[in-house]
Amino acid sequence: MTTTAIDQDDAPAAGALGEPALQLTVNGQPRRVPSGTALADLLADLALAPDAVATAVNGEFIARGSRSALRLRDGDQVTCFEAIVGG
Amino acid sequence: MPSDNPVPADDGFSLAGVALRSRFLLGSAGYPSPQVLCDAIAASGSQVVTLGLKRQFPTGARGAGDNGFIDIVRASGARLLPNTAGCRTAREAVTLAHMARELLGTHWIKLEVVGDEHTLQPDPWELTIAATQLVRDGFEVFPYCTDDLVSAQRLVDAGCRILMPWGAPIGSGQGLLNPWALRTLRARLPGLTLVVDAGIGVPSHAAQAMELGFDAVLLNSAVAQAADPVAMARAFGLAIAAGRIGWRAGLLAPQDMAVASTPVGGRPFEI
Repeated sequence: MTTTAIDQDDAPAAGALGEPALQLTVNGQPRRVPSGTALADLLADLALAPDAVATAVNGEFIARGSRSALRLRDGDQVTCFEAIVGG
Repeated sequence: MPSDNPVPADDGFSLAGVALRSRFLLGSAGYPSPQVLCDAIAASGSQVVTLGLKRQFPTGARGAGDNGFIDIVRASGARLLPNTAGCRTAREAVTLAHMARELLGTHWIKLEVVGDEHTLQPDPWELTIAATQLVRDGFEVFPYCTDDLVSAQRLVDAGCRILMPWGAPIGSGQGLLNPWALRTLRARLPGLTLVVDAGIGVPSHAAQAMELGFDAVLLNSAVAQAADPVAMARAFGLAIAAGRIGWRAGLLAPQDMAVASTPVGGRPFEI
């Protein structure tokens, strides 16, 4: 599987109110985000256009229109897919 | 449609309610360049092209990585048929299908749920579970299945109106390994759209599938991996058309013994 390296140098240690950051797995790579981060926020942080990828959290499809409302939780596994050639 | 690949006006083909001129479904993987893929689609006359999905971030500028190929497929005007390649469970396949629908804007899905990593043959149980769910979710399901009649019937019971039984394992080029089973599917499921998918190696395999009365053929590797994919795409297009025309014309039934064709009426010098 091809994955893109994700820069963790600026990953937050805690949220604005001191809540512990969330430890996620994004396309197989670890990533910390502030508590309260929505899936849409995560995609924006990754500079992904909303229509460029399809998303799932813990194996469940999350529709584009539902990403802003979905608050990520500690331990969530986020997967992003794009279209490729296929037979 | 290539000008040397005429389709009789009285032989319309409808795939999931969509009228098509071509009975050739073409895969988009493994071509040496986007331009070759573009030319192959044109040469084949195909109006349905398959795509896949992969867990990865977009590779950047359009034209880079797979984006050049995807752009070609989109620009060709062909109907997109995304697949769930790589899935091992019904849950994975259902999730991927929903992703495909959102990304590509089609409710068509080529449903693949693999049961063995070496043969890549379908898992008939997970396939049926996934098909049942996806039909409920409003998909037009094109299940990649084996040639087993009972498994096929379960897919029909789940709501599938199209079946895509294999000729041989994906990419193996072995042709139709079990013509009897395929012939049985055609005979027992007369009202269903049947598409031979996988294992096609040479144009005569595709013609053979059409001569069995199948409605269409889907193939990828035999074209993409040819020394000249564009010429091979044209060859397959002609073969599929020829097989269809031949089947409609009435094929000569094989006989165990000779049946004289010249009507001499006996030995010429025997009185």
